[in-house]
Amino acid sequence: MKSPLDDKTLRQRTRIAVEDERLRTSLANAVDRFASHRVARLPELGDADALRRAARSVRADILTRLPELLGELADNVQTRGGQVCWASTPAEANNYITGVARRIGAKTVVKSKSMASEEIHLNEALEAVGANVVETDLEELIIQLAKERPSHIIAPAVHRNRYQVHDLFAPLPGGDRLEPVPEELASFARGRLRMEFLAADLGISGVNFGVAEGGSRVLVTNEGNGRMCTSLPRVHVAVMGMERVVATWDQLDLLLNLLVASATGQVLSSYTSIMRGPRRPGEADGPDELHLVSLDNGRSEILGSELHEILACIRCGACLNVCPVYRQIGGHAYGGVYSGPVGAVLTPLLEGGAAHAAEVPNASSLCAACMDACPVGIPLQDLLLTLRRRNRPSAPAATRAGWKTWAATWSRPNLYRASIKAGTWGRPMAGLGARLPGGRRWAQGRTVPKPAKRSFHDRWEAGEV
Amino acid sequence: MTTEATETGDRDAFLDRLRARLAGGVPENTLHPLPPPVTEVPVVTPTNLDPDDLPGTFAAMATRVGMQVHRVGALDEVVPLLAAMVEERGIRRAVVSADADARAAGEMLEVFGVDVKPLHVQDAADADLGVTGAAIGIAATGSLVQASAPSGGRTASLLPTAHVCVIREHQLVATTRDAIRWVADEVESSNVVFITGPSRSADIEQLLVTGVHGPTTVDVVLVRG
Repeated sequence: MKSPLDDKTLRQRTRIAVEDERLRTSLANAVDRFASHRVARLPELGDADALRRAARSVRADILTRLPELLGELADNVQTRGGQVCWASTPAEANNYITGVARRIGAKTVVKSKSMASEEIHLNEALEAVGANVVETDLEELIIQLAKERPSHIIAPAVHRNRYQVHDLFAPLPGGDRLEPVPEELASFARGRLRMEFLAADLGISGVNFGVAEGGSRVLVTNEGNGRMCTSLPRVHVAVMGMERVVATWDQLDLLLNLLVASATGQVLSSYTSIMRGPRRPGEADGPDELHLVSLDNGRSEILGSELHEILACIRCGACLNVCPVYRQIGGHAYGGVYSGPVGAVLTPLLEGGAAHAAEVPNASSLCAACMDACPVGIPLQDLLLTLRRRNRPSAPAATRAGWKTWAATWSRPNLYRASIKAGTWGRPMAGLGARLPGGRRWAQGRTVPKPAKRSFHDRWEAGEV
Repeated sequence: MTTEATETGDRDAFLDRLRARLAGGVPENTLHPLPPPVTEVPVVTPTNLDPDDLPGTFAAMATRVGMQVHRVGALDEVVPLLAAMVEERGIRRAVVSADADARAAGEMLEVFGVDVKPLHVQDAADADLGVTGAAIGIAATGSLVQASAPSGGRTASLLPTAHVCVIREHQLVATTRDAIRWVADEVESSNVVFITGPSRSADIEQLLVTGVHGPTTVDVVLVRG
């Protein structure tokens, strides 16, 4: 989906976000809850750090065996009556899915939240062949009505408050009688979407985990829309980013527990659906046809590179919730489908051609809170540095000379003290640097620190500390 | 097994591209090296799990995740609960899954004048109440595990506004690992779902709303023995 933010630079998008008081209030409220629930839940799992270390190792092993495991998953899906599509590009995935929609004459398509389908802009492709696409996750419905991109991996409409949701629902049939009360808004969505579920010919979902040895797809949802989309329409298409595969049921167990604890801090999500195949004789519901689309879309380029480990991500969103940058600017400022630290790594890799993509790795303080929160221990800050180096292999000569001088000065005690003295004497002039042409840009949004009247060294020697 | 009719796209080209990328190995991160390989995937054993009292753990966790738990000595003790539900919530129509305990509870409901039907999608969509059994339950998480083959479908626990599930203590397993290993062997079902609470959303300002698409309430009848 095209966004008016697409033509803006990272700096401009950041400014828009930071000046949006409503956005920052909604955001702070949401990410604090996610983050605190996660911190409360993880210790209940036992030795959570040991589990996370194991999970990192498990994901690394899966990635090195990806070709074998994807083949096994595809074989087992077909053994159990499903169909498989290998989609290297968004176009191949969209052609396949629109082909299915056309073959069955699908009028209404119901979708549960799928980041992979956002990546390939599947909704536009389906609408282009005349299908009415309905997002059924409450938040996805909200951003579909607002014509926006998701701003959080697991809470796509986190930037919108109840009054904004009310305004979006008001023009819909029956929406004019609504009050801006969450229960009422959710109940309105339930009634509206219930009809769509029962009428839909095609259901589309994402995949949280594809279990190679079981030929099964696992979907984790809270509202139940995922179950509806995969149970009621006669055809179900699951779109899976190819790295979502796990080898064994035991691996699924570990990663499922970590995913839920890290994402929302729940014990388990309300519904963990394990889909093993089309409807069997004697079952009253379930799809007659089941398709799995295995999507590459640039992922193979990451495989085996120095950024390889980003493919270990299980999309819990924990890194967003703890990121000091995301917490201030929200998801849209990143300009891509994925935001936060994981988005800052993925966007340049998956949307490399887009203008907004290259500068996103700069939207990080490199504080490593993301790695600390990551259930599979991805060293996100290392990957961000790698990307920054790719963008700019070396700094301008003046900057390099500056850092060299600084390093030479501060690694010699006498010169270090002399420089501190100079700083103290220069105190009245502090802030001048920020007004110089080069410093002005740096000082935007920063408070330039003022040196103390007397240095710590001086106070120490005088016995004051 | 693999026929052209069920596979689209060039599998070999797709996977060969991955093999080529992996052929040179994966660069090591020397700042944060990978932990040693895992020979056995660790079992998540939550601190709240009392292995000597699975029913107690299950009841506590199911309550915590927002379900109402009713512990009874025998199935027919459920009659007062059903009577109260019918009266307080004005239940007129119910669907019942194919599990034996669910059918038995369905017969009790008929006595109160409820229109009870076996599971069909449209009937489930029109029903106020879905009555199901469970294949197993997970003590550590308070989850109900439903498999589509023994239940005769998926939607009795999804479409009606209220869900009542009958489960027996001996059906409880300790951990999600036990449950997932059970799923691995449950090849007759096209679908297995772990139900851990009512349908919920905190999508609008993080305020919890139940019954967004699925049931607003889940009542669990835990039968002794």
